Amino acid sequence: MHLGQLTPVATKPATRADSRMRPRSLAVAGGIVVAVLVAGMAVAGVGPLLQGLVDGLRLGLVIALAAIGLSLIFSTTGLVNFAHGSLVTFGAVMALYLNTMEGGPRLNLYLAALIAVCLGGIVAGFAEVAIFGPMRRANLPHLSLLVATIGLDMFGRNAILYFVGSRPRPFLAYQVQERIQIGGLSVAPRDLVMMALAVAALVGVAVMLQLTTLGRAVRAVADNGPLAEASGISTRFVYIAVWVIGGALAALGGIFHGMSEQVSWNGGFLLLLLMFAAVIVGGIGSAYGAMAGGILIGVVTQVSTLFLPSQLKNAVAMLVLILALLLRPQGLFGRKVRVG
Amino acid sequence: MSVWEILADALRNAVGPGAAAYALAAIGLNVHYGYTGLINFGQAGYMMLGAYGVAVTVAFGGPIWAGLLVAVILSIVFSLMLGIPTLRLRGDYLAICTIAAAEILRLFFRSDIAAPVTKGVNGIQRFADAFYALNPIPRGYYGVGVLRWDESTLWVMAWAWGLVLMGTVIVFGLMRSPWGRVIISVREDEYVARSVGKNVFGLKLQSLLIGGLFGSAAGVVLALSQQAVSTEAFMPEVTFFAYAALMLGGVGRTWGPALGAVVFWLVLSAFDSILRSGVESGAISSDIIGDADVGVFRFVLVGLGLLALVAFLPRGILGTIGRRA
Amino acid sequence: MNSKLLPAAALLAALTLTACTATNTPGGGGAVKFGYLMPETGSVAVLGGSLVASTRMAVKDINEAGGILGNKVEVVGGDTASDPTVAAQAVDRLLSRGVMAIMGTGQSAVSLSLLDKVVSSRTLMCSGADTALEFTDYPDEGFHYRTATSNLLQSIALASLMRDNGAERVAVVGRGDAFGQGLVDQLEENLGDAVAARVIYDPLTTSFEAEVGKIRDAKVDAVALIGYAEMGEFVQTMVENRLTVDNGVQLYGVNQLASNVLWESVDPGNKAVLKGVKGVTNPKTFDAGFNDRILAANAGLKQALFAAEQYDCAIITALAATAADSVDPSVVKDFVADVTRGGDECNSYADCVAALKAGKDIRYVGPSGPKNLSDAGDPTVARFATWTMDGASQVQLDGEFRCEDGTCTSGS
Repeated sequence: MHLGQLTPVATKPATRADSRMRPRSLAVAGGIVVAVLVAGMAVAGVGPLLQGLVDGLRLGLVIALAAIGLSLIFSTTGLVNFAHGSLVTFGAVMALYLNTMEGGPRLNLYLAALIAVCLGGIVAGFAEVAIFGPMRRANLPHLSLLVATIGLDMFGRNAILYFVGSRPRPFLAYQVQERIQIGGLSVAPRDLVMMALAVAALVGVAVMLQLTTLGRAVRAVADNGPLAEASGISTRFVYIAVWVIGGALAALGGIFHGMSEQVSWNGGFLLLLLMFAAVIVGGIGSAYGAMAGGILIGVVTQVSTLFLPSQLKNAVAMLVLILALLLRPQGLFGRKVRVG
Repeated sequence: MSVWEILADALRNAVGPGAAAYALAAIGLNVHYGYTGLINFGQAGYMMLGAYGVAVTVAFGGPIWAGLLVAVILSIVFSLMLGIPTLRLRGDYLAICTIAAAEILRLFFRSDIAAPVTKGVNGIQRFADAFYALNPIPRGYYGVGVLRWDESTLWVMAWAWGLVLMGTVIVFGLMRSPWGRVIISVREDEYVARSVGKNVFGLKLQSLLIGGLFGSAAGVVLALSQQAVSTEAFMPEVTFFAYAALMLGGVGRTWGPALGAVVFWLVLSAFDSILRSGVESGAISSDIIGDADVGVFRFVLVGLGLLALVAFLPRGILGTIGRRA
Repeated sequence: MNSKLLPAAALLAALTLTACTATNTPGGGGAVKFGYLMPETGSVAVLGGSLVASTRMAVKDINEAGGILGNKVEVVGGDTASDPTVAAQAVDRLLSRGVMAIMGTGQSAVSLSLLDKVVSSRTLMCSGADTALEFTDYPDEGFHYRTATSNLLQSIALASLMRDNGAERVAVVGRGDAFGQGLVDQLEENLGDAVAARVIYDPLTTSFEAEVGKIRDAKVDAVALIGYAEMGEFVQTMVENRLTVDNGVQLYGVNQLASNVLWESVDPGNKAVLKGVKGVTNPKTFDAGFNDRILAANAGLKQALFAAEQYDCAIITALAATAADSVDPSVVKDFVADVTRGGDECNSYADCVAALKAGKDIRYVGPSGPKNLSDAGDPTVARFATWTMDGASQVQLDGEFRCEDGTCTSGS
């Protein structure tokens, strides 16, 4: 049983066609990644390439954290959550408020982050309980729910803009640190800590999904909702749970992002499309996939700035997304899903 | 601001070229989603192609009609490039793909690589003179009290709403035709349509082409009315606003897009004016909403409005008061 | 079947055919309307607050002195949200109100995107803060003028400052829009061979690693940075990469960099982080008299950026109307340059109106200094103050440049 798949179903390829498919599209995906890396090295040299890999890894881990929630919500409830970016920003802004703002408690960053993550989970859970749950049970058409997430995102982003203002703001601690030089690479100490914490969080999520009852319930619902319901699992509870977990992880990702790039009111929104790309590339419904996809997208976009103008960074990620959908819609780690 | 001024503002915006542009975009989305069941989240991309098509052509010295032709051609090419690989994807996957494609296009137009043609982040201005030179309306203001327009705006409005009218009639005719009936059957149940031998893929592509042309027309209207184009005017939000207009009016209904666009702009402007006059007159304390916050509050209200829309008016205005199409 | 068509068409027909007023005069009698289009929200909202306050203060002064030709002046506000698309809608609203003149917009890129529309509606427009070169030769039929000096003169002053301070290898960095890119182009011309790196960044970008990397690789001893609020993060990235004054990389900027609160966006834990940063700015930003007055009258305002220039915009417009004895923009526009050059100097709206009544030719010199507007509506004289940040990252003025007709000389 693969660690990454959310289903205990047998992993033998269903048909010989499937097993022939896998090597070919993996080869194409691998080829693209290698091409990007080689181009980066050719244009800028090994040093900058390695630096790009490190920076890309950092960005990728942030995307990965945020993308897990997106993936879980989609695989269980079937909803593409366009408001996920707002959840990311919300976490960062809450931490900012608790940490730096006048009139706020001026807490230590770790404590502020912890509280912000909890708040993120609560707000997300509330959205499911108060908005999407009732809408789903009222059998509204799918587009309506999609548009509801869009409306929620617009509301959230602008409410944050109203309270926080448009100027990007840094946290009070760990903001400006001299880079550590390792070989030819320069890395800020806080980034190393951040990356370690992010990996720990990702591993924690994987463990939760594989080994806990809740995790098994989530995987069951993701695999086959009605069957899970029939076997006694409360899908309603699972839906709320994935939103809470997703919201908390998004908040954490937002805080990490704010540490390396300051907190701004639309920071999460700018990451949203990258998150989509990560989820699709990694495989919808796979925690391991979201992680792998996030890192891949982060690295590819960052390395692409070596030979393309940095404005096109996001465009590269979008291109990878489209290619993934066309060549290997189930992503790297997902089950074969019907996309057409 | 008096009540009349607020109403006049709202009405003026609701029948202005901006509303007409969104009506056109919504007509396109109606063809895509309302009649064919395709979720195209990249309509902003079509709009941008239309706007830049006209602007770039004229900026490089071409006549206006060439600009319109370029807008049409770009729209068709984009539809083919987008549709051929992706139309076999369903629902959400198509939605994500189209939004990704539109963003790629937008970022590319904005970049330094495209700057020699699109002027990158600066956008293009000063291309609409030839259009306005054709205006036969004598100089002056026309209208009643505060509800008035100058001759240039009226000229654009005439063309814009003329296009909306034409578009609505065309779509109406299309959907009553045999072609239209097959398209609707694809929306209802794709597999049945395929099983009786219809070329579903081809039909979807045709639908994408037609709806895309309306999107491009919307962009042309925006470009000519604002006399400036920039990539920042075509972010994903624009597509979402167009969907909001469509859903407000009623998906799958003939007049849904036009009505929805007008009402959407009416409500949006009314929000803006009410808030602004409340702040100016002191009725709303400036501690809560300062001069600066009115713009932000409007979007907050739009977000809430969208939520309310899908919750309480899921079939739109026409869907709720009329019979099923 | 579709009965909605008829009423809609009838309404449209009624509106378009009702040519009730074929007059060109906006705002029929009694009150004259000044509109403003400022970035109340968005990336340059800091500037917006100052510009709006100064416009309102100018209108107050005008009304206290009897208004324009006996008509009270009303203010109609609009928010550009630092964005051309939002500004486009706001300008429509202002134009429909029949404003005589629009004050704004505080961002060259936004103003440029609206200019054609404003000109074709035959309305006056005055900028107190738009410095891009494009305005000088823009075919605006004389409807647009400004009290902010174009980038041309500012870049000459900045380049002089940099050379005077021994800059030999320079990185010129700017925001990718009409303002930043324009000033960067000008600086490159003025600095010539000294430019070792030219970096233009996307205004919407969130990370400056790549750009700062280029600066680092170019091994420069001076950096000129032109942008808006995002400069805080840019400087932060520079500091992390050891590109600071203490490490031999002198940072220079213009007005937007001369912010007493910028250090908070760079490193809120270190008040001295910007010590030693230099640049040029409009001297009157820190003019005690006008500054005190406007800050005292507006509780939330922290800095009076370009306030004096924007104030003068409104006053000059009002004076031009008085001199033209008309509130028709098409007539007034020909008097704008006149009231700022040749004739007797006067320093306040009230004094100048009195002089005009007595039949004199006036030259208005307001809180932002003499302008001597050209026929194209550009100031031909300018004064810049040079500044350096002290140990608390606060701006301290320490010198001056006077510019006239394309050359700048160092003053005391």
